Amino acid sequence: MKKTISPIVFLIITSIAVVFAAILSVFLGSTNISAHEVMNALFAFDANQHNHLAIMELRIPRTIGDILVGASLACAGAMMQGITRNPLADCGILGINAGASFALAICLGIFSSVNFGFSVLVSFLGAILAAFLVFGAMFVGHRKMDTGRLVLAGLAISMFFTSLAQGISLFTNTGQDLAFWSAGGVAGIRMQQLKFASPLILIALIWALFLSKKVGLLSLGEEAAQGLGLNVKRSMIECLIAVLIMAACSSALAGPIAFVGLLVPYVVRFFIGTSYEKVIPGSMVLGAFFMLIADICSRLINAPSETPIGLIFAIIGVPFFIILARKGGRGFE
Amino acid sequence: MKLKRELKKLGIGLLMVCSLVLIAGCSSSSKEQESKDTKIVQTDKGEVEIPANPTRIVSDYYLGEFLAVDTKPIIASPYALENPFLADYIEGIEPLNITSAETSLEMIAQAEPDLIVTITEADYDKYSKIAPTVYIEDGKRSDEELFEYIASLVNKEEEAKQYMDDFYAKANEMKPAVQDVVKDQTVSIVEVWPQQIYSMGSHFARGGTILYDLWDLKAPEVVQKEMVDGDEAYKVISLEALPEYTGDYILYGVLSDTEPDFVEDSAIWNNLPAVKDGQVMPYQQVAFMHRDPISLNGQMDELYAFFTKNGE
Repeated sequence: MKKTISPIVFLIITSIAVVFAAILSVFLGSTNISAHEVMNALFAFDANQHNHLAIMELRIPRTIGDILVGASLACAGAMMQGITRNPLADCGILGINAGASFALAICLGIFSSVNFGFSVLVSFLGAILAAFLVFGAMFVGHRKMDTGRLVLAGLAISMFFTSLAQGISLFTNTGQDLAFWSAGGVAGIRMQQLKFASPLILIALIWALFLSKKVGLLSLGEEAAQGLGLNVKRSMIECLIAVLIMAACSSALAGPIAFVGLLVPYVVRFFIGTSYEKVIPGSMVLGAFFMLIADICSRLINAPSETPIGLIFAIIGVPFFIILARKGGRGFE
Repeated sequence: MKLKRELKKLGIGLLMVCSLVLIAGCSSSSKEQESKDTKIVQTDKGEVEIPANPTRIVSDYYLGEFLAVDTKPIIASPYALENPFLADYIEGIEPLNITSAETSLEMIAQAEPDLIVTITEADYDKYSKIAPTVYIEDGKRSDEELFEYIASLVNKEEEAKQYMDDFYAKANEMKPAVQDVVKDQTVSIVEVWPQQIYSMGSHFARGGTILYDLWDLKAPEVVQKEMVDGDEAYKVISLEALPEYTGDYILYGVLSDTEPDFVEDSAIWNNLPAVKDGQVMPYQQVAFMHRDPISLNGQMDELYAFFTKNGE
């Protein structure tokens, strides 16, 4: 039996890490702002000081965004892995992000700029469409959750929607805007967007906490879960909706960022075992931490330019994914 | 069997006919050029033999340099043709069909040019099969050297020199008035691309050479150091860094079809001294991205008008 850390200890340590990283994220950035200036910005805000503006308008919203997006992506990934019983499941892989991108591409193609709330709604619809295509077969045909097939279907849908999105962007000349958005940008997060998105994300996260026990049961397999009295179909739908809300809000805020939902739950399981009641909250906190760190890196490497955060996760995520796939998801057992 | 032999003969005959047609077709484009005068020029790909007096020129990028010495290519790049500063000079020039590599090559081949001038090294071999090709590497020469080089290809060195002399004279005439307005304030150039902000100095068109080299205006410290005195052409900067890279005046351009809201709606942008004082000159990206002599002339006029009007 592998030695694991107590979940409480893990949560405490990672929560402290998140606070620490959040502070760093406000104090560090693509330009040098002295700690003294940062404190002034927070407590003696002067709208004429561009440093103060940088802190309040850019760094603070972005830090909050990192926490919310990181938490939701990781939580969504953990939930997907639980209900599909596949450690390689993740919103990106299951085509949900691609669906959101596709919907957003249409949206950007038709309207040149969109109200943020509208873009969340559109992303949500796109995510639903993708989820419907990938999961629909499972629910309609009463087939068993063949997890390998699910991932394949997800990949196919993902590629399908991604290419459609690119096609649309070519025809409507929004290509470059979409390309940059596709690389994953937390740089564009502003308070205005957070006002809309944070309540939604928080609700979804809290709901996910309540659903975590059900996810744990589902991860034992459909028959086992049913045997234990769980309404399998309904639970799956509830979980999916929570996941879709999180995926849609994250996509609208920061564009599609892959690998977070894959990496974070794996690391969490490594430390505290596979009980989803604990993995889900653990993933939320660790996801926030990873996102903050990745964002800080994206601003420090190559300053004053910024590296898209999706790139950083890809650099870490791709080798990780390969190792994980080769191990056959051993960390899952 | 007799039938088989007959078929064989037919087959061979058919093959001969086909090959004749093929050879005839392929050789139709190789006309003898011995009768025309040629000259040897030094290019970035070594020595090339070109017509002494090219009349049918295809250029896949450089345009203004030709137009400034009264030479009109028969085909030019659609991007160059979009340049508003060149609008008065381009009547009759065909835009290159850039739908695909094949369509461009076909169009060029059909036009039967006697000289191709290209900025694209990758296409050099394909172009040289159609006509003598001169490859001009981008960024290797200064704007003036480039102009003189292109003029030399079409035997218009004198005209080019005269043009430049007039241009410098004009710049010098304008200089005192501009310096009088700007004094020791700084001037900066900012260009917005999708989700990216570019800062540049004197090495990336957008009127940089006029501002910093000809009129001796100063840029913000970091821009001056890296992109005017230094060799960097441009730098992508974050919104946070914008105040550091902008000065008392801002030349502001936005790439076409791009949403600049992420800059223009931000408090950081609106709080910049240049923005608050109304010292921002918007420029058309498609006009200011070029550095041929005609565009430079146009840019200089626009810049002069902006500064002197602002000084009132």
